[in-house]
Amino acid sequence: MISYNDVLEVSKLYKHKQYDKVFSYITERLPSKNIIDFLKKCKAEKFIETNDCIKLDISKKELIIYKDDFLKNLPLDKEDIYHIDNYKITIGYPNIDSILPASCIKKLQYKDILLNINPTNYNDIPLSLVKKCMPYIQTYLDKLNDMYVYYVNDKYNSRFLYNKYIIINIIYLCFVQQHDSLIQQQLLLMKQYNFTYQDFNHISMNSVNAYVKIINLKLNKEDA
Amino acid sequence: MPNLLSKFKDLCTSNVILPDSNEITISKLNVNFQTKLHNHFTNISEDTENVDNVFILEYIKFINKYIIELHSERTFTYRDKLFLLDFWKKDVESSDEPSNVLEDLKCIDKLNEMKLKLQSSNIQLIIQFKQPTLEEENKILTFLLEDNDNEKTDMDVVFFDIFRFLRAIHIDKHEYLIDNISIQELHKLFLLFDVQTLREIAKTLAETLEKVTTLRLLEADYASFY
Repeated sequence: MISYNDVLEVSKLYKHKQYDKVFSYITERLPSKNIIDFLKKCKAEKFIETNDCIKLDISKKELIIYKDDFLKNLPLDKEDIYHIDNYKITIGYPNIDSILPASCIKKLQYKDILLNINPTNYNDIPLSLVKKCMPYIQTYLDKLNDMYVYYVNDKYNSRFLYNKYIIINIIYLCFVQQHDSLIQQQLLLMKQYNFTYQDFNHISMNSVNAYVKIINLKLNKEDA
Repeated sequence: MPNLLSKFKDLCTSNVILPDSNEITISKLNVNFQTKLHNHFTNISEDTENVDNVFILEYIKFINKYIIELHSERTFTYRDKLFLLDFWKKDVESSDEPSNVLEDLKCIDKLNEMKLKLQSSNIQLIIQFKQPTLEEENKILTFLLEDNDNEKTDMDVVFFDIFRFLRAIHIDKHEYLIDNISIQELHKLFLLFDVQTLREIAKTLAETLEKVTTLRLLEADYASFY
């Protein structure tokens, strides 16, 4: 789960333009099998309730992105086996922590020896073999690039491109909030309602928003 | 499992005879190389002014450093680098095309014998050339890349690509050996050259090294192994 404190931390990092740290912070919090798995987890964390949405200011208007419009055409995760030279090579979608095509190589089988490829051992794969896999790897990258970060309509949409900056932008859309407002909200709950700082490690953004809504309703009633 | 990893390690290791540095055991390019290259480029912001020139200079420096680190006690030459780039490129592309690379690289020898006479603003210039070592190239690159105030214009690339080949400049009977001049002074000297003179030197180099033009382009093509 991405907690309130996670959102607070990632918003602080983003505010200070530490984009690489934003990326590594969230990828560590959401361990994923590959990029598809990661994007699905981001979406699931952001859109918990039916009315959850992302609001963007575009041309002095507010663009509202609902769950169905976000990460449109996200491909279904799959892997296939290809026979290249004397190897059976399993290829799938790339890992989130590597933007290199080699991370699409998942398994290598030579005769009866099977090697599961991961970031600790894929460094030894010759580039000549990666090059031979490229036509197959490209089909996965093409499917990824066929996706939209959001697609509201033909005018308001944003295409996905497989690179780190776009992934950081998706993290921004899902998890970054106004840092100062988050701190104010947190201080209010700690001061008035006996929350501890550690409590926010176990509470989601949505839960805090729900608490604040109830508090505001209560305060409004008292005022009336 | 380790068997397959050692098979890859064996596949990736090869003995080659370099044109200037004899036989050497080297690694063919693997994902490790690509990862290092990727991490090297990650530190360059895409907002950087003239980012393409920065990529070119950084890439050449990266390749030079990569080769130097293969055998730190050896002195690798420009010709060794072009040979290795050709070797790696053919390996990555699994190319069986017969190669004339060793023959083509002999054109680099002509540099040592060449003298280019030029007239610039009533001054007679005689330029002598040499084949640079990779350490010498990296000294120039480090100077250019560490100067953060400089926007890395095309002229910086020109400075590197011409002045790495200079051995001496004779100005009105005085000989100035490039080895005795600091890179800062060399750069100041470069800025005094007029465009026509630089064009003449570049043309002479291009004609002399014509047979290795493709390799010279590969040398600066940062996307070739990416």
